[in-house]
Amino acid sequence: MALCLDHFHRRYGSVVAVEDLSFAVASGEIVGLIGPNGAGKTTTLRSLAGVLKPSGGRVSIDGFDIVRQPIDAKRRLAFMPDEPHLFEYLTVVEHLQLVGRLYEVPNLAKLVGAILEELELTGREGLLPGELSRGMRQKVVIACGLVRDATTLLFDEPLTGLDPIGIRRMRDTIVGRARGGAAILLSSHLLPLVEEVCSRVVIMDRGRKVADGAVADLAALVSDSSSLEQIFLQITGRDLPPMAGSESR
Amino acid sequence: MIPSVREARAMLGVSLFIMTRSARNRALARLRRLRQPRYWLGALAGLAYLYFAFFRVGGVRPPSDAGDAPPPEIVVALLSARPTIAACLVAVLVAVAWIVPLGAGLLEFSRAEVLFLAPAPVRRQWLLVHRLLRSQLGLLVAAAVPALLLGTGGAGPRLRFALALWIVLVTLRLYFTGVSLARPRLAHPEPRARSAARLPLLLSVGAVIGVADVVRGWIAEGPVGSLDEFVDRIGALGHPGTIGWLLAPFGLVVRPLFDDTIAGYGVSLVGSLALLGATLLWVLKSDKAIEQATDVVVERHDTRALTQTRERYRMRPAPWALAPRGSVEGVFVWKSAIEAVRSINPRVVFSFVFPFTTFVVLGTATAAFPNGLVQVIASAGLLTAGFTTGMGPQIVRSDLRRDLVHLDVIKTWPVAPSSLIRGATLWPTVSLTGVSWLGLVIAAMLSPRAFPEVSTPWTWALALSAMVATPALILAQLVLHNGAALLFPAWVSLGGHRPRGLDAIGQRLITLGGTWLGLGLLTVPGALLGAVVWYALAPWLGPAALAPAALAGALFMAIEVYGLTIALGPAFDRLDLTDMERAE
Repeated sequence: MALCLDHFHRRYGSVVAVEDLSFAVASGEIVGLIGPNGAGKTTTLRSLAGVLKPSGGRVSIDGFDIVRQPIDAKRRLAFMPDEPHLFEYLTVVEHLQLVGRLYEVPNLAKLVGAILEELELTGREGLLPGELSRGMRQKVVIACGLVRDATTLLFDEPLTGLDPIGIRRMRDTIVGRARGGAAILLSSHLLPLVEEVCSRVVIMDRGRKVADGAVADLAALVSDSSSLEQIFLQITGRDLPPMAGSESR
Repeated sequence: MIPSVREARAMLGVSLFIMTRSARNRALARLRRLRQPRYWLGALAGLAYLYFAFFRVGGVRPPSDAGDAPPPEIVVALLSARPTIAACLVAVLVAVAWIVPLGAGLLEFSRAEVLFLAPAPVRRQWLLVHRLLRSQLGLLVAAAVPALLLGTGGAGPRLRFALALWIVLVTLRLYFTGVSLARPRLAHPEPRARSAARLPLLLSVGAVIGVADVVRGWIAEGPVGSLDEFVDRIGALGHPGTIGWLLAPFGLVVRPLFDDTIAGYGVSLVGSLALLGATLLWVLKSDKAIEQATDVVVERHDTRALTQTRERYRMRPAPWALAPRGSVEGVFVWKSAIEAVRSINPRVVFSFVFPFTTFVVLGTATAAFPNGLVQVIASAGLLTAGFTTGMGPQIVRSDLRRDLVHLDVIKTWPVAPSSLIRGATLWPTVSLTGVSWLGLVIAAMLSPRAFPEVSTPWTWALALSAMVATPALILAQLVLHNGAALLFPAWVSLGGHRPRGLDAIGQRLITLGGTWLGLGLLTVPGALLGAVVWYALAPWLGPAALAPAALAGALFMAIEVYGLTIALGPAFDRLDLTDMERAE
């Protein structure tokens, strides 16, 4: 398995953010990680990326333990966070050069051109982050993750700030990387996207895994399986009654 | 257009609501956090610092007895010249504002202000007034501290001094904002807008002529030969004569600072308040300029992330291209060098040039340096080197302390923490060492004329040994500061943000003290080794033995620092964003 969480848990002081979470993602697989706000998705992704240290359990990337062999694990990993924090004083292309050097990417110049083209950043190479829109900065963060040949890709709300064309292109990019053999863990609140691209879905609630399986398998667990949204709402116990007056309309 | 009374009252209500609620909530939050040891320890240290700074060491003194000896002649001369000197300083600042945008913070709106106030159905001037009101607490503190430290007499005179200084500060802040608004309108096609922008500029030009006349007078009379002559010249400044009218507006604003009698103070206060009012009217009258300026800021917030990049960083080419292969440390040196190149702006240059120039001008003009300009410049070089080496690592934070804001990105990089720490501290070491070396070289080259009592071999031996020791001292401090940030992240602020409050002052003092203690501990073994080398080589090499002694000490220190970066690795691995201080 490219990515593996084994009885992972993470606490913030006395608050348990994630408890006893286990799942794996194989090469070429796209797994959706969904859950309501505060479910522990971002904490899980950050722990997988080596940003946060697990309080317990094991997290490995391509068999390398993120705690014991962090450098080997991180070399195989690309994390695209939800907030596009960039170095204010580095241009778009300099961010890619920085990443290329840190991850020792061969043929960087060629790859940079291709990734800028793919993410529609061509012509903006020399701009500073402050001169880019939110969506463009998000694309730069994603470009930094995709410019190298990572075997495991972690996306945390990758579509935030993107326009409809950008969303479609990003969806194609994610699917294309999976076809190329990458293991992808995708966290998003855009459930139609998750339903469309993910072969499996892990649902978290209050720090615990409450469901794990293909959408069709999860549909068998609930009464209304018309969409992933309905499945999600029922599994997490947040299936809302219709709003007053909505029936009359 | 000036807001109507009704509109102004409504605006004032909103502003006061934001200010009072924010102040109350901030105070409560700070009180609550005192339950944690790091904050109450910091608060205790901060309180102790304030107590000793203001009430013990050179702080507030009781009023002097009537039977005291009369003050020396030089003090009398300086006292009588204070208004003119202060007016000259204000005039220079005001003139500089037209050349270098000093800004005043009034046009730097927070994201929340843009989000809530910009779409509100009020005029854009209101945003400016709101910012002015919000800045008052800081200005009051800025006025109260010198009144406590420098003021004489009881509470009354100190209060009067604080009020006068507050008016000066508010007037300057408003004026700088007005300049920011007026600069783009100096060539406006509308004659009214153009003249409104140009009139204050003309006043500044007049003031510059006045100050230039004072300087010309000093130069024409030649260097000061004795203390008596210095006293005479200072005394003459108290009677400015022909230049008086040029400096009058600036004299008006500073006059209440120096009026000892209540009646005189009252009259001066009316004058300075009138000038403050005129400045306020000038700024608020520029409604179109305010509209445009605030539109720019609002638009920038709308399309940008967390910081105002355009002001802070200017697009300039990278100093060198990053090689595709090489050490991790090299990446960070490259990254920090780019940051340095792109963050240089007129304000940064001014903050370096101004103290140096002031020191040289004052040093040349006074009798403090008997060997004249050469000695002043050599001393300035030595001071620069000393200050850069001692305080530079505390002030320049372009290392991990600034990059911790990107911790979630940095921690995903496949690099050893020790390489990261070394890389992050290398560029500031190089740049600070460069500044320090420049100061030392200037001092050494001018030494034969500036300090003739020091022989040439000793001069160069001292300069070389200082140049050898400087990078080790700077690197050690930077690693210690970064180590403190990694080991005690709760005591460190993210990025460029500096937390406020008494406890934060105390925390900074404790970490600074700890760093200096650590530096002392790191220096002792190297110094001992250097001493051994000195005693071994001095009989053969004489003063030149200082350089190898310094080299031995510096090398030993570098090895210690290298070991320290490795030892700090686990601390970086443990570092958690949730432990760190966030912006309030």
